[in-house]
Amino acid sequence: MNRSTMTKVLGAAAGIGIVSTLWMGLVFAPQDRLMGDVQRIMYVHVPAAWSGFLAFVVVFVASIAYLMKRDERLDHLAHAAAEAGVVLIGLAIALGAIWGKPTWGVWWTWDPRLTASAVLLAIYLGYLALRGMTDDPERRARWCAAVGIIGFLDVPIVYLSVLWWRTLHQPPSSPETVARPMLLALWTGVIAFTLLLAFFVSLRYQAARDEAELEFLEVSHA
Amino acid sequence: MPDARGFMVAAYVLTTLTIAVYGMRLAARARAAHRRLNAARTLYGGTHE
Repeated sequence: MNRSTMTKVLGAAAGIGIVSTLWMGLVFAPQDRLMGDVQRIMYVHVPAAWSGFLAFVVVFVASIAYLMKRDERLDHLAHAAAEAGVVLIGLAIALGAIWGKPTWGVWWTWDPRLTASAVLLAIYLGYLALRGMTDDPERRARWCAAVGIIGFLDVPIVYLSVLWWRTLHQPPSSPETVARPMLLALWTGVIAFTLLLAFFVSLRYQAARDEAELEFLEVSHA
Repeated sequence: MPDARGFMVAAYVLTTLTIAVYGMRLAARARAAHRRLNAARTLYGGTHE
């Protein structure tokens, strides 16, 4: 299977997964006894945050691998994952704000989990901005690999912030305390968003690889 | 509590729109990059993919 076919298969699987997530979250899962329908936001908020974190794990691993091997494909992979991660973490933060307003009474508060998440988004927006600051592909890849490694330190801080500090945001739920249909809906979302991330990264990687080859052709024939 | 169902609908609409818009933007960018690369290969005497 070539890369283009694999991307199409991933896109179809992610599409089916996302439609299933919407159905599971809006129809299949029962209404929460305390929060009512607004709790259904969990079935998209948690998977969006999970897939954003996973994207930054890919940036971290690809950045380390790039510094060791100096293979530009690893830099393209880190770039693709960083961009998808920014979209997904940005979505998770926006969904959290929409959930926060009816439950906490505010769209935003400088709570440890929310603040650490905002810092995470800012770090990777900085990573993407940094890519436009030099025309030398090797230097760009080296600088971004350093940011991709150091910036990742905030990911465990975001995850553990609800355990380390007193926060409005709830700590992670245990599968033992969640009703089975709710758990099924949540897992559907997690799998769908993981496939979606793979699809986004695959598409963005193809574009980055073609753009790099085009840049090389134009520079070498200028 | 305000109309909680409205917040839920807003969240699902935002999710769907974000995925659709970013997905279509990525697909268009990948197609354009591939097209420009093939044109450059033709111009500079490379091979098509």
